[in-house]
Amino acid sequence: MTVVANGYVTRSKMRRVGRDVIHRWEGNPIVSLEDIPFGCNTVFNAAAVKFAGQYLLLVRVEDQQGRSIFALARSDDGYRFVVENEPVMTPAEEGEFAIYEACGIEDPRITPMDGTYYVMYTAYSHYGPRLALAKTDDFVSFERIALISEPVNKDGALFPRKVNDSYVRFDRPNVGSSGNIWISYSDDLVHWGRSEVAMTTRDDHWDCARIGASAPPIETAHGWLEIYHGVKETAAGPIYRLGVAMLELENPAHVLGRAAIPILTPREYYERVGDIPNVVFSCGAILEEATQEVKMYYGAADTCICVGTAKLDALIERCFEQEESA
Amino acid sequence: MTLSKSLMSRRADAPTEPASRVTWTRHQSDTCHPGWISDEAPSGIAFVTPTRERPEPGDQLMLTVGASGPVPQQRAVTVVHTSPYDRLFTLVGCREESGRVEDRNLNTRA
Repeated sequence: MTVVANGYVTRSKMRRVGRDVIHRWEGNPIVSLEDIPFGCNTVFNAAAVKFAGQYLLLVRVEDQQGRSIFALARSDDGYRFVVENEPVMTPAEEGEFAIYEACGIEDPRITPMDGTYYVMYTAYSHYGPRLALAKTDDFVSFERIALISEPVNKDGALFPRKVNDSYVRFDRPNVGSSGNIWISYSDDLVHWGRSEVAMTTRDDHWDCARIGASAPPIETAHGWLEIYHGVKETAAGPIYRLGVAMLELENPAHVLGRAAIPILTPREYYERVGDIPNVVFSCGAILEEATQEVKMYYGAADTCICVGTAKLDALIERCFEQEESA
Repeated sequence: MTLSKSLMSRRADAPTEPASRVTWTRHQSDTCHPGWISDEAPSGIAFVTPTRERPEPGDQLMLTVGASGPVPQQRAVTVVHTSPYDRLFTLVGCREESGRVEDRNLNTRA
């Protein structure tokens, strides 16, 4: 910790400077209730992708009935978004998906692969949450592919390429109120197996209660960079923070490095106050190839969507720092 | 308090223009529209808003600055100019009507 000359660090100075690697945009939140042109309760947790020269967010919106649906937001600069007038994906009303999406569709993650944009999301029903997969080529129409896990499973994130001739995903089966990050493999994106645990919770850490994949992994020269969320239970309720880990390219179940401290923790008013207080939760990040900057989009307090940025090198470096050094 | 050089250099360069959130309503309307402040002075304010919702010169608006924070602040303005910002947004220039300048002077004298 840096200390000012007189030995004191005031609270206001700490809040202004912050200690997170992620730099919050001053214009946060970028999407909140006022940005949604149709009736809804709240908005949070958005997938992110660049498409046709624009930044797109596939936004989780809770409708007035209390179910989650997806809306699409567009931006030219990655900061200021306009939400389309109608939802682009709502729970299925017929077919095999209908019964398992009866309570909503949640927390999408977009993975571009071979010209197709895959959307892994949580199908929620009275039988519990399970993973589902859809695809789109134009972000106008979405085709459901398959229900790809049993309940209880959430936080599915598809890797952007095959590894050893198999599709790979993160998922998070729950064990009671706890959960770890697992990896599963598939030859056809429909049937998944060979599941193994990749990352576990850590006692006495900010991610001691449960963890889950956040953004789909980013391939780097050092390995797969994964932004994940971790939960710590407190007397006042859970605190959701974001961290980073580096996984081996050809064996992503092998963790090469994992940051000891979060990259983002709830500090700002919009992260502290909302439907679910003290939550930062990401479902998407975009690497700007030209600047090697990562734009990370995250839901805050289950009430709005924000954006923060960091240099890719900073996130990689953080993966291999075992103790706080900032 | 100063940051270590390593942490400063590892942070991404943030956009430099001011960008506080703002919401606005037309006179005698309850419909709330989103935007971001792009420039601000005691005598006026400029903000960007989705083009599909843009106001017109002469419209009287009530702006709420910092709507997502603990202490939102309201300002009455009149639109004097609009121009395209990008493919999705319009830049709106407004004249202050809520007397903030006089209020500030009074506070200074007190």
